[in-house]
Amino acid sequence: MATTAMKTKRPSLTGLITLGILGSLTLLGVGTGIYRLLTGLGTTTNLSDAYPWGLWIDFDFALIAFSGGAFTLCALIVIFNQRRCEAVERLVVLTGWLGYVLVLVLLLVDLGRPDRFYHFIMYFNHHSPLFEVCWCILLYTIVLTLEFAPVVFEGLRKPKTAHAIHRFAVPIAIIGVTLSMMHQSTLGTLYLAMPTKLHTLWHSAMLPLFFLISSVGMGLSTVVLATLVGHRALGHKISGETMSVLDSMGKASIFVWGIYLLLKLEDLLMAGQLGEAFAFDTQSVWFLAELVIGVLLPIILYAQPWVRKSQGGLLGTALLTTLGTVLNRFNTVLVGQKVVEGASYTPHWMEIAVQVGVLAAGILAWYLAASFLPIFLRDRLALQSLQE
Amino acid sequence: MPRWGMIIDLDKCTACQACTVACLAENNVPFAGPEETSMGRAILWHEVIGGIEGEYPDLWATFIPRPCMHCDNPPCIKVCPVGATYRREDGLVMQDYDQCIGCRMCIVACPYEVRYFNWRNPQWPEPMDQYLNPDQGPPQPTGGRGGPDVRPRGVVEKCTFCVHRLEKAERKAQQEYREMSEQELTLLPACNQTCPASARYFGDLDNPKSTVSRLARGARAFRLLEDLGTEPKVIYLKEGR
Repeated sequence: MATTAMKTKRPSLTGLITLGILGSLTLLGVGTGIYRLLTGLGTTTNLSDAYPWGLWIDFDFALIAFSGGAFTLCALIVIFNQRRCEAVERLVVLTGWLGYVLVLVLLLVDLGRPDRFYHFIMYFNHHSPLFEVCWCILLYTIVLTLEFAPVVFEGLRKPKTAHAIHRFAVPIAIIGVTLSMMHQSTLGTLYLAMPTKLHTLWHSAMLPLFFLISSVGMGLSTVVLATLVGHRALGHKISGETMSVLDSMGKASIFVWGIYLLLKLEDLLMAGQLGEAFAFDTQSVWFLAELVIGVLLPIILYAQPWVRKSQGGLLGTALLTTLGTVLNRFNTVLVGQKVVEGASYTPHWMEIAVQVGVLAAGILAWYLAASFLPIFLRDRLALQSLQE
Repeated sequence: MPRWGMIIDLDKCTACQACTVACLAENNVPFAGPEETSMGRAILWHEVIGGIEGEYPDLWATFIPRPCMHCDNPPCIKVCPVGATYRREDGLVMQDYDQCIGCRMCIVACPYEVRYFNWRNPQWPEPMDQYLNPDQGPPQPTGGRGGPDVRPRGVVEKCTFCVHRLEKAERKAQQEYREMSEQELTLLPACNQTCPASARYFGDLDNPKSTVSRLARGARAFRLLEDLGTEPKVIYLKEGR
């Protein structure tokens, strides 16, 4: 299982400290999570009937959009035949797969009755958008597992099994793209059901479309983020070919976020709410922040060739997009909600501990997988030469 | 098959909250202390919601008693991923506590905010734990309902229009080969029975001769958030000013 990456690279002191911090945060998260499962949501969260959904759902939504990188890239490779994107595929699929595993963990922790998590498999209510979301997340996690399985088997020196699974890559990718487009948009549908509660700046008949487009836009930035951070963290050099892929991601982002912005403006105009967007009250400020940070600035930055050519520029812009998307989901789940007067919600420290722990566990697993599995081209070539 | 509905006459209502208290006692709704209540976690299947309307100096106070609307087109049923919320043939919207996974989507979706999550294990201070209603509980194979029913931590609960009392009265009428009388029906839910102002009616909305359907057709009748299309079966009668 040991690859060249492991043999040649010795973790630095900062690396070890980072791993130690991530490990401790994971342990804290696991401990708090177990305590929450034993004692219930009442003792470990600040949620209430006015705010039944909080921090965890917000991060579920954001993580699902973030993990949209995997389906966006698979669609580019398989459906749009952009084979050169395969250079970054493994790192992004790993990111998406871990993202979905974390979402499943968070959803389980967030259920009032986690012992009944399997009920959505037994009792069907096909009217429910959440039913579709649950099924799609489950099935798509299986799809991502299958998409990532060849890498694991290659790492385990079982190239025949890896090859056997890889033969089905195209149908698997198509199923994955279908499932993703279904649930990424249905997450928006969840909020269609609350015309009285969600602020008009966010509530719109086009909410499912907004969620879908923003997941594609976020996905493109996830490709940039995962590739740049992955290569840097593991001390790999980014080839010119990879940079040209990232450059294309930047170009595609302009197009995707451009459509998103146009539709958003059109939606506000049609509903006659453009004035509300510039009312500069709490909601309007959050709304503008999300649009400027996550959409407008990235469009401007990605449009600059020097930004797309420099690693720092790409990384910064992708981070802006991520922040904007997290803000957008946060606004939909919390800021945009009209609640009874006097009700408020600040996450309990245990909610934060579980959230941070889950994210730390994800980063840790991602780092370890990227270190020990043949994710990068150099490792793959080394492995091939070993086998030959 | 009847279609049960409720009429609340706001002109008669004195906002005394007796309905709220009767509901808590009848349905074994757990007590919420000051801390939980201030966090917005008190379970109140029935509430009297106060508000102020008009513009200064022309102001008036409004009080709206609010049970579950038992909508004919309920959002809560549509959004439940496991079908734990269902509509009975007689129009009652019920919650299956054994099927509920506690995802709280129905709380998010209900525009009337009549659904409550059990954030903690249900608790009653002494000696109230000795006074739980034994008639209210899950349906028994031998007929009737076992109890006292206490909902576990982690599931969502809501008003049932006192289905256990309704079933009992239906059974009794059947055994005596008769229809339930208007008087009997009006006093069926605990909130109605306890109303000192006789402001509440209960009955079959599909029976054109019943008091509720007659009142529902009247000029004073209105329903909450009618434009959402949820078709609530709790109908209010406007108060005169």
